[in-house]
Amino acid sequence: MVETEKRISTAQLFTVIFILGMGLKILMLPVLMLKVLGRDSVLGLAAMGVVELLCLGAMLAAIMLSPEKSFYDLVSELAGKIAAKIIFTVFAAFFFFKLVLLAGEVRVFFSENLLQNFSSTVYSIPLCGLCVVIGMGTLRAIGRASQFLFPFIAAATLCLFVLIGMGVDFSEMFPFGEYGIKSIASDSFKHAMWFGDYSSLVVVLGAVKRTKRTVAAGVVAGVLASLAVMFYLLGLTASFSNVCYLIRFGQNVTGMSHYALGDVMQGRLDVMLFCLWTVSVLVEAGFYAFATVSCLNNVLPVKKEILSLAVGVALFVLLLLWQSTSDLQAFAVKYFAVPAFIFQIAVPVFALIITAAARRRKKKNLDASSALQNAAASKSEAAFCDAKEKGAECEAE
Amino acid sequence: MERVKAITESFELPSTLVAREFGVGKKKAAMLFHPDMTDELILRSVLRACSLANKCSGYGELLHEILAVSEAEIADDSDATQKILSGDAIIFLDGASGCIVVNAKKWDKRAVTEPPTETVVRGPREGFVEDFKTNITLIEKRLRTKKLAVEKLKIGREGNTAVAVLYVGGIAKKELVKEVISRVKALDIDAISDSHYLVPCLEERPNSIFPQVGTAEKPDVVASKLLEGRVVVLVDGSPIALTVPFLLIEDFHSGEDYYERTSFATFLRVLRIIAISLAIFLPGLYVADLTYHYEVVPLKLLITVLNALKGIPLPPMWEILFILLLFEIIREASIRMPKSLGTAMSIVGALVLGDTAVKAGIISSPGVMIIALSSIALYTAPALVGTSSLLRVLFTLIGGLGGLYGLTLGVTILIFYLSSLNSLGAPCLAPFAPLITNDLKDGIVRKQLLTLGTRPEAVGSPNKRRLRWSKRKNG
Repeated sequence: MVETEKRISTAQLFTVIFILGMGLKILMLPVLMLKVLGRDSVLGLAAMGVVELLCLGAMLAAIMLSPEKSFYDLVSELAGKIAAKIIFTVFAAFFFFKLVLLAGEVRVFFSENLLQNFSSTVYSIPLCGLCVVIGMGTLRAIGRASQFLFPFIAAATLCLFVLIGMGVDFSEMFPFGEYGIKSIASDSFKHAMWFGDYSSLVVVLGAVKRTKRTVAAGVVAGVLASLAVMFYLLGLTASFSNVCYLIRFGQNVTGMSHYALGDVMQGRLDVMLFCLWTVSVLVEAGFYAFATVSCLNNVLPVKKEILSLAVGVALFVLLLLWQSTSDLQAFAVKYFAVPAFIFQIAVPVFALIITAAARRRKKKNLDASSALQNAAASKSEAAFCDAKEKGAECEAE
Repeated sequence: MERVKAITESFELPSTLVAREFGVGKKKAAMLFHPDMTDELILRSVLRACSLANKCSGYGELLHEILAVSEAEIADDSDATQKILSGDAIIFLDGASGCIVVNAKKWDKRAVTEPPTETVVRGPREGFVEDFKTNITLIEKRLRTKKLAVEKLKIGREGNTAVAVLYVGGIAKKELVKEVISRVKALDIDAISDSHYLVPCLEERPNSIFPQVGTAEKPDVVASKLLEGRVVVLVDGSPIALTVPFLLIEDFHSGEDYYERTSFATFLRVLRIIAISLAIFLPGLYVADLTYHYEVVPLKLLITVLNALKGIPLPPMWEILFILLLFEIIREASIRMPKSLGTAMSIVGALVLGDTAVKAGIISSPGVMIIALSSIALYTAPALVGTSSLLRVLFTLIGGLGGLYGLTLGVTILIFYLSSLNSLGAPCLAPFAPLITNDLKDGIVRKQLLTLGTRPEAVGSPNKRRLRWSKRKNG
């Protein structure tokens, strides 16, 4: 049974889904896709976005069906402990790689835009520290933190979009279809690692205070996040589609900053807005650290604090080894496209099957126990009647 | 009198106590008391009353005579020592078990004045004093209800300090009351000299830099907290009441908010939040911008600041830390030093250390201005001064070492940390995280008093309804 205090509310789930759906994708994905697909990146992103939203739907269904037990408990009850441990090891590995990718991109964001004199090793230390701190925390704390930060993130995002929207000539994003459907499909598929963020919601299964609005809130959050990503890509496409070569590999959201508020005379307030928005990416990184630690905690009988520290150290070592984020991205595109795509679809489907089976099992057990109770009750009633009859006979005698 | 001898000899110095022997009718009697803690006049009149009571044969009749001159009661022998140490006089009657406890306490106490940390322009000016009974009376005077419970405990092996746990029955959650009492009772200590000794017992994370227990020095504030379902702890000898559960937003509230117009109270709350944010983050942002992100500062301002920084030997981070250190030293010294030296100190602090250091080119005027603004802003939420001061230093370091990247990371970690903080089951970031829509009425915005119909949900009172009001139609 998941402890009540560790559960998150529907509002908190909403903010977590919004942050998961938006953070990593806006940070780098539009640029990466634009470089490969030009104007057609919009179509590719839309297609992948639809798949992702379907996966979110499945995940939300699993959340609604899930009894108040952790997903690990459900899997080990239905498939056995060994199978559950293997499955959760795979989950942990996937979430950890996502975390590495995310951390690498955050490093690029700051190193290219704000602190050009710093070595990437220095950047990595505080980021790993953040992952350690959030990793050893509770889901409830993550939920509350996202809820608290959500208004600031939303305001920064909205400000950026309004400012970008006023500056971009959106007619420049046409025409579509230069690359052909096959090319769009294959190139979008290659970026599967940047999708499938909702599969990490397995760690919240059984830990959500469900209401009638949970599904609606989840769907709205997912759609809003997808729209935000899409809007950003549209702006980027309209601005750079003719001159893709201007975006050197690795450039990120600040490529759009020339539309945003501020100049040298007034002070670059857009930098502040970007920093505020980046908090969403940091929360997402923390969530992945938490997901990794939670999965490992089920597999290894080690304290959460130690696991979190180990994840932080491992992250630091990998970031140290992978000094170039473009290499990391190339690695993700080359070797992780297929596994990531499978993972993205398989996890929600698997979660749905497991929770549905657990629910059916619970219902059967309930039926059986109520039948037993009824039988016992009728037995005792019969015995009571017998006794009463006997009593009456005695009285008559 | 064996009992008098036994009690007197149980003291390290038997001469600490005074015993007066006298006769009541045909029986011998003795009065035992602590001369430093008792009122001589009361004792004299009690003795006179006792000597006149010739026909008395037991405690009941003697008590009747004593009650005419002083407050008294019959108690067990076992309570005698403790009562003497509390300033009572004890009368033993030979051959009878038990004793008479005469209330003859006398010690100096401060008058009820306005507390220095919670001064108000509008509203009651009464503040707690060091006297336990006065403090309880001040609360009872405001809450004249049978439901007000005052559970009295004794804490401290040597000190035997009186501690009172106050709550309003039916409004405070029973589990909360039980938890507070059990936590206070669990403290095994020689003596407590102030209510702050109990703070770590009531906190879930005593090592945290954030307070999880509220403090109040005004009975009107405490009374309203009791009515919100909170539990209050008073300690004898301390003018500060502890309130639990405590939410972080309470630091930005003032008792006066409820006596002001709604719009102005809301404005003041927003102002306090902005001020505290400035106090904590402004030095860090200044350092980060001047070290790494010149582009964030408007060009003209940047030129002015850079001109002022010309010739300053220290980089921005060290300069700000140096000024912070100076400020903290001046603050600490001005609190500790004799008041007569205050003027001289402010001259030394402001002129010698501030003005001269700027003129000498050791520190820059923008740096002094930043710290001055931040330091003034710090005092808009007096309860948070300690926490904010530490955070200010921390974020200055983070800004200097990691620029905006460091600050963004730092803020995220800070919010995550605060999200995981609870005060006796209530989330410290409530009503924002978790979002409690009902409690937002008295969060940053203070809605009109008649709309605050329910008690704060974050506190978890079983009795939710607080106020009902319907407009009467005249004629």
